[in-house]
Amino acid sequence: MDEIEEVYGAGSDQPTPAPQAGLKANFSAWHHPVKQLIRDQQWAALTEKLLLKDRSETEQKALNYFTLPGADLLDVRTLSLRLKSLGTVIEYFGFDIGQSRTADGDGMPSYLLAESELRQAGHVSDNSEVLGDALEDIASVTSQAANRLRQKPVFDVINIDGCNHLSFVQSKRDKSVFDAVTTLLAHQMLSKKTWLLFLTTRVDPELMGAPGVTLQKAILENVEAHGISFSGPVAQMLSGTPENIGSLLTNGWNTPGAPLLRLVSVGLGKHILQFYHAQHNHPAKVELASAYAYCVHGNTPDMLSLAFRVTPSGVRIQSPTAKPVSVIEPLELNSAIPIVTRAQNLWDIDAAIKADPELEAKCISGSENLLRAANFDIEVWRDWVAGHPERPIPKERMISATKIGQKT
Amino acid sequence: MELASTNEPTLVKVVSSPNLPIESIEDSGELSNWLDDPSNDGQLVKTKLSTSDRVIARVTDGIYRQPASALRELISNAWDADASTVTILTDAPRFSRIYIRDNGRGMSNEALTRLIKNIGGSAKRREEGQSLGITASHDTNLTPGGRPIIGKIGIGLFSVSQLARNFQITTKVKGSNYRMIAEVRLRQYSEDGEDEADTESEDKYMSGDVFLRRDNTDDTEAHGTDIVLEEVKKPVRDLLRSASRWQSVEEKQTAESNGEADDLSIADVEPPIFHSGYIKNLNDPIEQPSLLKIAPEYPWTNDDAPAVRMDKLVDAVEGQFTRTARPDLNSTLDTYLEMIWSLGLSAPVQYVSKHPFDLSTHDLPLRAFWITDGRGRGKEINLESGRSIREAVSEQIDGAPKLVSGDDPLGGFKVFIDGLELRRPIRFKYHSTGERGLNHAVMFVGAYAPDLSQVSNVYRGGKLSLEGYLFWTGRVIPKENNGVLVRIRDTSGALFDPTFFNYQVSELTRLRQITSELFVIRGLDAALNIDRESFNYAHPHVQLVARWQHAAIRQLTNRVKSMAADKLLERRNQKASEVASELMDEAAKLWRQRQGSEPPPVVVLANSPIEALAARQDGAIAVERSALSIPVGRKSSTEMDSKTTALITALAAFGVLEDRTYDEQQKLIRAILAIFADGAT
Repeated sequence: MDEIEEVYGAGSDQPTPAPQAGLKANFSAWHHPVKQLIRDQQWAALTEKLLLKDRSETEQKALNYFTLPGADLLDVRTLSLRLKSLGTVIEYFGFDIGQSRTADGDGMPSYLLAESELRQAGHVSDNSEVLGDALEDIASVTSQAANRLRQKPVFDVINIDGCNHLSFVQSKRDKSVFDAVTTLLAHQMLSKKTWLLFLTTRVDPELMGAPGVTLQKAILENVEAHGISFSGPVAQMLSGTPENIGSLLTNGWNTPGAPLLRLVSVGLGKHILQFYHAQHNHPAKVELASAYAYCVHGNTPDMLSLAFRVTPSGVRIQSPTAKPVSVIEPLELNSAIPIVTRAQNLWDIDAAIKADPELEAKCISGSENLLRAANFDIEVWRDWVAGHPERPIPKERMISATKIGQKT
Repeated sequence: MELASTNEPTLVKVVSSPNLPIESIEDSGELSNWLDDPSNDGQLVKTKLSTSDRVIARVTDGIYRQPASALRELISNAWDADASTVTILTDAPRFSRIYIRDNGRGMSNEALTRLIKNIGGSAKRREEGQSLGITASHDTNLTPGGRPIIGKIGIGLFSVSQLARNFQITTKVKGSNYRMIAEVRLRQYSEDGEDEADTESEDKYMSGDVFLRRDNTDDTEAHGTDIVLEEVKKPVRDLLRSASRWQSVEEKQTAESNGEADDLSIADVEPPIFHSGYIKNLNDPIEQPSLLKIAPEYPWTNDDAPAVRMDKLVDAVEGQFTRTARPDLNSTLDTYLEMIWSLGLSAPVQYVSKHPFDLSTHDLPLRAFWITDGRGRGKEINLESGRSIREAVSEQIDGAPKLVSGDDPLGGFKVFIDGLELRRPIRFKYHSTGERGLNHAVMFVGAYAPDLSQVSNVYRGGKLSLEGYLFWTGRVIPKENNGVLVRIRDTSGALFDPTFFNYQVSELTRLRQITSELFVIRGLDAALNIDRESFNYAHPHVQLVARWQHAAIRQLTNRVKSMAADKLLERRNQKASEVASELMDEAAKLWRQRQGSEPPPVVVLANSPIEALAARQDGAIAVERSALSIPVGRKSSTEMDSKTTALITALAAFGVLEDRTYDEQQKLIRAILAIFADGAT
């Protein structure tokens, strides 16, 4: 670094550009109405259920939330709307490596506006913050991201809303999203209450990488340890029979589509289960609360949106004479089978929206409300959705959904 | 969404709305009307951040010595906005961005416009402030909620220009159906005339650009102000993260490992004991992860509640007593934690333990006195039955004075920084000065409101009234809490003044044992220099306050002397047989010549580290025999003991041992003894 940069800092050769006037009109995958179904019916509904079912009235007033929110805090906005009646104040912490680039075309950094708006309304706490690091950095022990994470309490909800696959490693980095998930599981070890993990990820057989091997192993170990008890339900999930479990798994892992998505769902569930079974003193029950699939890169579902519910069993005191515990014990099978069952019922939300005009209208009006609050140009948005290459929705249906939304 | 990057899936971008031209408005009234017009929702308007003259421009560009000063101004603004909570977030130890969030009234479009277009022309404490809703309707000195207004000049907000190139204000008033966002892009002040864009006209100077917009909202109940400092300046980041200190520590370690540790320039550099960690390379996290070279070492744990954290910070500094007799902040804390400390001192927040007026004998062994007019030794206040000083004063002093300092009409003001609740880091503890000293602390409290009616209002400088205390204890920890701190409207820009307004009487030992605060209720603020960190000593209020303070010190020292004399007499009666050696008499004489009537310190030659620690806690100067090579418990060592004790007393009389760690003290004494010893020590 030369002397001038030492004093003036990087990027001092040009003044910060002026913000652009007008409403925002840059749209990405998460602005499509289909995403609203995940935000509303998976994230918000399950979070509300968590607070109502597993928290006292006093505890309902605060939600510790880990998020990768994006510039408009759409997930936080959705949660705050849903939890308003409970008087819940959300304290979020998360990362957005793109945050320093949010002025590129969208005017003032929109996350700052969204934060101020939600905070001044009392929906999010004063301590909420999003740092400009990459999520994966938390897996590097000496990173600033990990340093800040360690200073946070355990979370009630963790939402890893990723656009990429679990094995994705950014350039000049050596940790993957999967590593970050494992770090977060470790962070949650001291949680005494039920918590939720939302995980949205791209699934492509070509891009599974090392995490793919881990997930395959997680399933195989159960198949080997529990035989038909486990391979039976897995085979049924893959529309086959237990005798062909080998080929079913091989084909499933290598072919894009619903079987692969189901296998990844089970593999992730099994991985989390095994993680907790390895912590003999801190066991936990792991459930797959819901599993959604949708398309982003083509006409075959390639995105998974999973919700895991983790219920710690409390600290288990071991006798000094206790024998070492096998990693896979019968208890894990009892938890693994419901995960398989839930994965079998993987919900194709593209198809669901297509088949249900009411649901589609709800998603459209919900998205529109969020985007309007975040200062997007709704007219341009409608054009964008109407011209979407994979999931276009005619503009008339969009306008009509708005009218229905206004009436309700 | 966070992962959108190189292989971002289907990031579909439609041709965005055309980049509309931004309207410019310079007239304040027009700007205010524009902001009030709902048809402008979501639109931008541009205006010039202009100041009425170059003096104000220069002031706006930066007058403070520390980053904490700028944050202090923003905290004061939140107080003036009747906020109950202010939260400051930094991403320490990176300090790339700083948030300041409050739940105050927020600014109306008129108030925001006035702020931007009239820097240095605050409407606070003026009738105009009443129409803008920023002062009470009946008293322009008070906020609508009844707090004394701190701000007066109108440059406080722009103090942040010293910290960051750009900042953003988002503000909303309760009841309003829109919020306003002002993005401020600042220009570095220059006087070389190179850039003509700086100058609007002969007497107008452009400090930067402001982009304003209003956003409609259905949530009319929302209120508050958010300030985000973006692009924190590199030198400020370096200062906050103690970069030069860590670099020197690294150089020293390298030199030591290379056997080149004799470099004097870095020999004394030590790492702070508590700190927020250190990131050596402030790279952009987009490029590669930010990595900590040094992991943080906070005095609190992540599970500690915000208020407990401040308590532990004070514990941490006080705990350095095991290393040195007068712990200081600089050697214990990094710049960031020191900033928290100084903000705690300056902000109108609670004390880490109790307000001094609320102390009683349940809290510490204490005798209290009322500062009387003129000379004397103060009037004792009876603290029996556990009554507080505040209660006892009201009951026992003529006219039943009511001490009001510490009351907030709105029920409390809390400031949080990165999960820590700021409290005033001042504790009132009794520290012994040894068996020859008092066995209790001494508190002098008083109120002062001189009758200035005989002075022409041309020269009077306004009314003056204050309350204050002087607290005496054997040792003030940390040493930075020694002196007098003046709070005007419950806030202070300065740190403790250890000279007590240049008190000239030779009472060095006792002055070092006093912590004093003056709570100014009315007046004196006109004597504050513009940085609010120093006073115009020619102002009559400063002279009056200094005189009152000096008189109070005299009363306190007279009282402490008299109590010490009584104690000495009592002790002599008890130990009549004790005969001091001739050598010690000489040392004591020397002590009195240098330090006045205070009895010389007790010197203990300890046989173990634990014995030394216990003696130090009891107010003695203790050195370990093993560190001096003095034999333990041998008869022949009696003479050596006497000489060593006399030497230590003489060194203490000249202040040579002061501010040295125990280790350094012992090394020094050993070196002197070695010179005069017969043969090797």
